[in-house]
Amino acid sequence: MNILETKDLKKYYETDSKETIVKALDGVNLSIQKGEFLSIVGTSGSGKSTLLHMLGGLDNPTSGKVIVDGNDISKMTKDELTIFRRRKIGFVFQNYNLLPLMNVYENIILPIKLDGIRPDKNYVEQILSILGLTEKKYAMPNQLSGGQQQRVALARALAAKPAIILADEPTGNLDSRTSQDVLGLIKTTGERFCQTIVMITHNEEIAQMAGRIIRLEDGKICGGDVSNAESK
Amino acid sequence: MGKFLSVTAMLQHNLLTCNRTPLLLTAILLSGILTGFLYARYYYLKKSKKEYGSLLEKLDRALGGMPSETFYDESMDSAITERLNQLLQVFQMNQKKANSERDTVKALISDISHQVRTPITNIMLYTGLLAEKDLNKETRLLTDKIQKQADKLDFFIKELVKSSYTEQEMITLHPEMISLEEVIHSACQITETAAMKKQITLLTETTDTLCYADKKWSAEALANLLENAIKYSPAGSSITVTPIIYESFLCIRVKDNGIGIPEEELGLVFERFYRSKEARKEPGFGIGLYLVREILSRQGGYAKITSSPQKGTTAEIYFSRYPLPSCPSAAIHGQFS
Repeated sequence: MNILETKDLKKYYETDSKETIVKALDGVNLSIQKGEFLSIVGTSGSGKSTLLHMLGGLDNPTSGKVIVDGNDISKMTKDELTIFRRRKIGFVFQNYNLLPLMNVYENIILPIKLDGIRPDKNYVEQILSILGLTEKKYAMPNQLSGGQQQRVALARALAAKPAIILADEPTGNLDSRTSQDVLGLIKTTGERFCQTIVMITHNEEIAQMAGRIIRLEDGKICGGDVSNAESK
Repeated sequence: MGKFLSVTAMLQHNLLTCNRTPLLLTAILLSGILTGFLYARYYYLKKSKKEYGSLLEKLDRALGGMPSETFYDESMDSAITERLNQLLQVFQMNQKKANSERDTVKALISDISHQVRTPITNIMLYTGLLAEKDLNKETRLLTDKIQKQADKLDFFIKELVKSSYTEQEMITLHPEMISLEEVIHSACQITETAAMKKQITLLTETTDTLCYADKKWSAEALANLLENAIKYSPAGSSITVTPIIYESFLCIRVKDNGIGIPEEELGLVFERFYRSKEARKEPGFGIGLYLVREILSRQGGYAKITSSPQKGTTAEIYFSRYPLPSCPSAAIHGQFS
């Protein structure tokens, strides 16, 4: 079953003078299976971030469709989309995006609190121990190293039990040693919690962690194993 | 709101006209009804939210494999809880049944493989003894042939047993916090003979860092990597085994100078029954690496391979350095599927 699908996805940006059109995405057809770990590789400006934003419903396409778990997200209202995103998708960004005035635990349960549900303490403790954060539970973000901060961001993404994790250069700010660590955690937690992971990166070696690699160039898929999903 | 406005408008209109007492009564009555209605509505909403909330909590518990406390009264809540627990029981019973069926098959397979391997080992032993005797040329030739065929048979039985593990969740791991020293040693021991035959040196380093692993299966996984490395390396080369310590993981790296794996095949080598074109010359079924991946992922780790053709392959297996919560993984999986 495909959990994520794009159909002829296009995103054009116009310059102010409307003379030139920038084609950030130019007809992307992609299907991602449930439970897959997919990485999208491309140089900067290839449209990979735009694609990830589209997949997560953070941006509207110029034309084409994004189908998440059978729902066409371009047909959703803004409010629907917000709730949908909060429950279905977990984001991990390059610069962690932790709230500086909240401690580790508060940061992690924030998305659950926003949903108006009492956080499942056992589950959160479980995530903390898997990610090796139990001792840092009450630390503030500025007391943590980069790798630890990214682990907190991953814990936050996992807290709402999303079906999909979207990671935008998750190790962009980390050294190679810490990168390996964080990537390993993304991979193993994904397997443990049966999640689909889409990670974008410009680094070929990091992309090798994924089960499938797709290459993006000038807004088009130009290589990698696109057909793989169909045959599985 | 509109209703309220119209009422006030009516009141104002009435106040301007004569005869206040009945009007006042009507006004009080109306406002009383309105307040009552609003309060009832507020109360109802609050109550239903609370009910749904507790129901959601129960559902979450059920997804985690935990039954909710039952109580018996005439409320819907009680009836729903009862049904939910029933559903959970049915599910758990089915799971138990499947597990016991699996255990039976598992026992059968290990029984058969044991019974088949004993005579094969005996054949190999007796042929070995025979080969040591003073034999004439023709007999020696035949003895060699028997020895070779017996080796082959032994290899295929081993592979068959291995591939049966990959069927239907045959692997049950019991990971605990252990030092990998023993794992590395026993994996090297398993593969020593094969390495010696090709004059390959195994350069191993060990570590006493603790990690979360199943001793027997981890050794099997590492031995599989070593077997591969030996199989695809030229005679006389060396293979290094190095532990690398990360913050959350302990990595064991197996590096060889073998034929390597082309880039387009790197993503496929962990698939079951996948065999590279280059690897066809060597015997095997393509289950070794699949097994490695399964073993590692069941104890919270993972496997990774990087390679360049003709330069050699680096295979890495990562073990979690933290003990993982021992909650039933099936229950967690249920929450997300």
